[in-house]
Amino acid sequence: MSGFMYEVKKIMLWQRGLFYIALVLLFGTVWLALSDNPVDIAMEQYKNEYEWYLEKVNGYCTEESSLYLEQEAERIAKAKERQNSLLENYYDGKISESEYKKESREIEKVLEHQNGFEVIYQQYLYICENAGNRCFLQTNGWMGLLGKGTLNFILFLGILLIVTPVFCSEYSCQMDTLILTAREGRKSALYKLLIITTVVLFLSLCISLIEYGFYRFKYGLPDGDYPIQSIRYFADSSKGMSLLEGYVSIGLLRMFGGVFLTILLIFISVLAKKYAVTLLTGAVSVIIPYIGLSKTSIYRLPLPLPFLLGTDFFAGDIVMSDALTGDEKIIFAEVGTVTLLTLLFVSVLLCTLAVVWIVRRNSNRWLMKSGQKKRGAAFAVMFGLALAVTGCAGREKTGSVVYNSSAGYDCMGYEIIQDAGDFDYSLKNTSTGETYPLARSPMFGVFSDEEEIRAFYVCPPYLYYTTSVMESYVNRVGNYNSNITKVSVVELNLNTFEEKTIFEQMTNSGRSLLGIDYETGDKWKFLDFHHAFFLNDDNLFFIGDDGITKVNRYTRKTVKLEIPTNGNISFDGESIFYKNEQGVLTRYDVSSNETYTYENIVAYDFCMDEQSIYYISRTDDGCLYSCGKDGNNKELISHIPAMSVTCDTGNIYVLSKESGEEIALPKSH
Amino acid sequence: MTRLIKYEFYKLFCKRSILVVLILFSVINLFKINSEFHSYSYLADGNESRSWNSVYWQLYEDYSGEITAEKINHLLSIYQPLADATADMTASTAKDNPDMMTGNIYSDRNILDKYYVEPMEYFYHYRTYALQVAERAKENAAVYKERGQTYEARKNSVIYNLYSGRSIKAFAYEEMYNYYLNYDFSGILVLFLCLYGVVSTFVCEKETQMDMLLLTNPGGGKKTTFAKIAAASLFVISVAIWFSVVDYTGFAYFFGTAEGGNLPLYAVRNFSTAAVNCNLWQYAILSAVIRAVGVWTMSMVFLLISLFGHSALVPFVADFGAALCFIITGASQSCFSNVWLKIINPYSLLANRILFGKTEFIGFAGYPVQSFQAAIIFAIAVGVVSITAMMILSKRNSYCRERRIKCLDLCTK
Amino acid sequence: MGKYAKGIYALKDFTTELTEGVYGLLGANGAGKTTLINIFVGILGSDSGTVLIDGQDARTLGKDFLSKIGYMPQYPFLYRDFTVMDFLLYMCALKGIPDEQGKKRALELLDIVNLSDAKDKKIGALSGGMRQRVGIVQAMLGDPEILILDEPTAGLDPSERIRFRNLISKFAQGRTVLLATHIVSDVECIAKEIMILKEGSLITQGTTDTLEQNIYGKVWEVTVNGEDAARLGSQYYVSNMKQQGERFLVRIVSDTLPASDAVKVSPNLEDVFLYYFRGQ
Repeated sequence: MSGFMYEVKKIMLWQRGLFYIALVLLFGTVWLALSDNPVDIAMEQYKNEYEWYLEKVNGYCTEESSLYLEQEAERIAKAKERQNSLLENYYDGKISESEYKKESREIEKVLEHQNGFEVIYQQYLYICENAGNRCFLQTNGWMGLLGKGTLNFILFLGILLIVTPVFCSEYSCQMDTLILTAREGRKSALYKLLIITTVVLFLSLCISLIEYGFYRFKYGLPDGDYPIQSIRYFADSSKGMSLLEGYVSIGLLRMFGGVFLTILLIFISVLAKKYAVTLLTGAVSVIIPYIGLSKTSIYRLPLPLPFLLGTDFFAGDIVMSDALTGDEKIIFAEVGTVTLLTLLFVSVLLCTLAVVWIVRRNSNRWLMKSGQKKRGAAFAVMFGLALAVTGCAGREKTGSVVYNSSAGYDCMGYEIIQDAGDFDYSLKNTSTGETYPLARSPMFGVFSDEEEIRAFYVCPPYLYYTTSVMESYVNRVGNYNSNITKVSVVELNLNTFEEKTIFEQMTNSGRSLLGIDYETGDKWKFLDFHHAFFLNDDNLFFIGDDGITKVNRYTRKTVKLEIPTNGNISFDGESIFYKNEQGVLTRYDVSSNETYTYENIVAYDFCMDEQSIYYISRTDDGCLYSCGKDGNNKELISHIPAMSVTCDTGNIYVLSKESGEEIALPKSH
Repeated sequence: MTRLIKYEFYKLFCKRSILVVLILFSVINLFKINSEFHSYSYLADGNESRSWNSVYWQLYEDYSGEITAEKINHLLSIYQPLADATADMTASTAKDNPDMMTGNIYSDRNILDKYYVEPMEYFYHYRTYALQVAERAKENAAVYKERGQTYEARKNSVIYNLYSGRSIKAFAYEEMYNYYLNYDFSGILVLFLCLYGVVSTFVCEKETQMDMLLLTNPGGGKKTTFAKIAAASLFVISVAIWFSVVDYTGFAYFFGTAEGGNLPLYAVRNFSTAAVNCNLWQYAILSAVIRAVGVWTMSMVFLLISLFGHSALVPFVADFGAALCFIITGASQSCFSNVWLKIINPYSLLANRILFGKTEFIGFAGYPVQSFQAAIIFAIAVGVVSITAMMILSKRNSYCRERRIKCLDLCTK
Repeated sequence: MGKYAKGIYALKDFTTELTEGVYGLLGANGAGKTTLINIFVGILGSDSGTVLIDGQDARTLGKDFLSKIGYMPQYPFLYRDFTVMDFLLYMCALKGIPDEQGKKRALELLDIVNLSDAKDKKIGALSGGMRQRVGIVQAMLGDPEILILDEPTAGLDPSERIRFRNLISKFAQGRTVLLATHIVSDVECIAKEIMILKEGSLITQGTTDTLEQNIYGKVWEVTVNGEDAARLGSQYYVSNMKQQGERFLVRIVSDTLPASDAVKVSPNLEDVFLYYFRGQ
């Protein structure tokens, strides 16, 4: 076996290099799969509809595509308008069923891809800001692949584990002197450098390829030749490169970062000859600038860190406005090509000097030319480096109760009232008249006007309510902000008045974790706009103006349900009842995700209790009917034409179309 | 034993590399504090006569001290006309207006708004807010008592006692304390230094085969293990306190003042619902002690992990990974209300505003325990368990079995 | 050669000429033996001077110089996870010896040092003496012209030490062996010449007989009672003391007559060592 192979065997087997490589690749892949979320959820959810439009406008925004999108927007708006009037005409008996169906089919054809249109229109608005270097394309894959400026901790720890023992182990068993006196001793050091550099390059390459494969498989990575500015992360970048070139460049820079870190670790290990010092220096040289310096500074340091991060070498300026003075402040200054090349040059020079010094340190003195400065390279490298471094909680099973978003709350003898002055919510005991603040924490809302109750859901004996609060720690635009907006779901036991938080989520991204930007993205934006919610054992359902979002209480997976929220939404613990776009009562089973349409029930409004559905028939002049949950046993309750209906334990309340008054009808009619 | 601890301390921590790292980290820390000042304080604009810094300190003499109606009226008499004049954003943007303190009307309004009107308003109203909390807590206590909810009743009583006397009577500069209390960076430096210091405590004996030699001595084995643990404890506590001192003096130096130390902790807005009633300077001391407890606990866990390593490699990477997990989970959970997660993570003690910034409780046998109290108890318990595990797991001379019991007694004491 | 470090001369104007045979490098701890060897084998650089092999500078010879030397360090830990054979083959690779040739040579040498049975054992499982023998085998792999051994018998038991001494004698045939030690008996019988190093300087060099002759008349023996033996021990450098019934035979190294009834005796190498390192 050659000396090279012995070194390979030593690093890979005896120093467990292969084991650590396998571990890094395994954990890296698992972490990637577990932590990934699509940046644009709607694009993923309405993928087919979006792609239908994308096919037509893919590429640069031309006059034709611009015209097409504008016309399509108008067409969809008109179709929606037409759909409403058609429905009104049909239910008012102005048009026949066949006419209605014929026209409906045409309208449905126009609206077939409307969800996808909303996504592409948003993309169109983004492209219009700078149509010269932005294209229409599927962005989720590229955003996942390129739009992450965070350090790969698993790769970093792997490099520490694999590289540190290469020389340190020789010192710890005092083999360094024997190697030094052997004829091919210098080669041994060179082999080590070569092998470990190859290993790190291989690891970095594998991680890059795994990421590429993952995003290609999950979202697709089409149109790699489009400009990098086509994805929002690089919106203001002045670099003229394609997405694929960006991926390759970032990958190469990350590989160089890995090699730079490797050489730094070897340099320190040869200098200090101790594991602890080498590991500390390696860890500190990456982590301290990462959490201690601004992104702008990081990307101007000849250290491994900026290269390990890579991404922001190609990102544009980030400018924010100071909330107090209105002054614009550069949060991140783009790294110019000259700066990048200079940084690369300095880093390569430092690496070269370090390698020369490492090889010299591992060479027999008789093989050196006399008079050479022995510590010159070490000092140069050290000087260079010195310059460079300047909740979901556990819970009991939720009971089942019928929820109606438009109805009041039956709170076990309490009434939720809102103070006209300070808008605080209270619970009023309907029998004694006593009132209690709804939020049980005495501190709630006292010190912040922005801490407020947003919505309620009652499922005896619990009253659930959502709160939102904005907290600000560092309230000035700077290297990092620490402003958070948090939405919580609180469970209040109406018997004992005990309360606990069962769900919490930050909804904005203006927050940093020890200086590292903590991006929540748009995933939780819907929480800021919810106005009602309900829940069962597994999921929370937040009702916003543009639909219902289902959140798994355990996995936190979010799914946007295609349920229009312009009317009442009912929930019986298993299914959501709602009027579809045509006013037809529809049931959505939350566990099987199946939809059932009650073809015979076309309603202006509806509500339901445990046994029955009450609805104002649109096909019968607004008469009030009741039926079972399966839609059978239809029964006329009232002839009075009504606009809306709600109910409580004992009564049904209808709003008369003619008088505009609320009429109470006992359920025991 | 004291001699042994002294020698262990000298052997393990009085090393040139540790001293170099300590000095380097202290310098990095000071640079970071300086950058915090320049990045976030509007008063970091120099000492020219029209700079915010100069104007602020000129005005400070008029408004600092006891908050009186005269001072408030005087302040509003200056501020209100400025606010009115700039409300529609049509005022002159000239930067050399001789009638203006800073040369610009917007700038004058902003400095008064940010540094005087807003804080004074908060200080002035704090008493009302606190009273409101106390009243609510009192009512809650009665309601819960009625419903047989002893724990909730007790909790609200504690809140009542905590908030009933709260008020901010004087106005003072609190910006420095705001940034000081929100500064976490040095905690990470402390962790790194302690990790480096303690990781070789047991490993270096194995590397030099001194562990076998030590076992054959009457003072070796368990006694040495205990001395090492004691020396490591002394080291990490000293480092934590040193960095707390550097933090405080650094902030005071770069912000140019330590003014405001006598303000109550809740005078800093993020601490409006502070878990303790103390002054800012008292909290600085308390914070240093709590941070030392957190660092000590984490170091004992590091030490326990390093007991199983033959070289520093695996223990260091394992400890480093554990520290990163503690830091990332601790920081990401810091603004959530899951008190248990804050309690069990020793990082909460390092960045202790997580625990002291909010009045939060957990129930223990029907009694409310404040989150910071529970976190301290938990941290000490983890530290003691780690020490006990080290005492049990460390090698012992086969003739010294009975000494094991003595050692266990010693560490539980 | 000279080496100046941390304010003192670790090696000062050291000059010698070595030919075939064993050369003992004697010196107290810290005398500069390891510094001299480290400079000789190229682990340390010297501040002045050079090594000449048959008149050729080691720097000029470069790798060829390294082929000419075999080096065994003090307390070689070696790789615990390697088997003896793997380790020797690895050293062959480092020394540029082809695999097959190296294997053959390793087996031969293992046979000589009586380690054939341990060739598949892991180094971590070997005793101290066996590890020392692996150490000398690796030094001999390249059949070097110069063998440099730094305290090779340190930590060995008497029988292992004798075995090792014999091995060195065997390996010394046809080559130059430089053996650094502070154990006089290691070199007394096998060394062609002894070099005595004190505070970095070579203070004397010669055959055992010459060195012993140099201090002739300065070694005394006297038989005294216990009390006098203790007195002599505190006043003079005692190289040996032997109990003979109630009395003691005391061997003293002294320029002057230590006692009236003391008799001159022939010096041995231990006396020489003691003579030169008096007071250290």
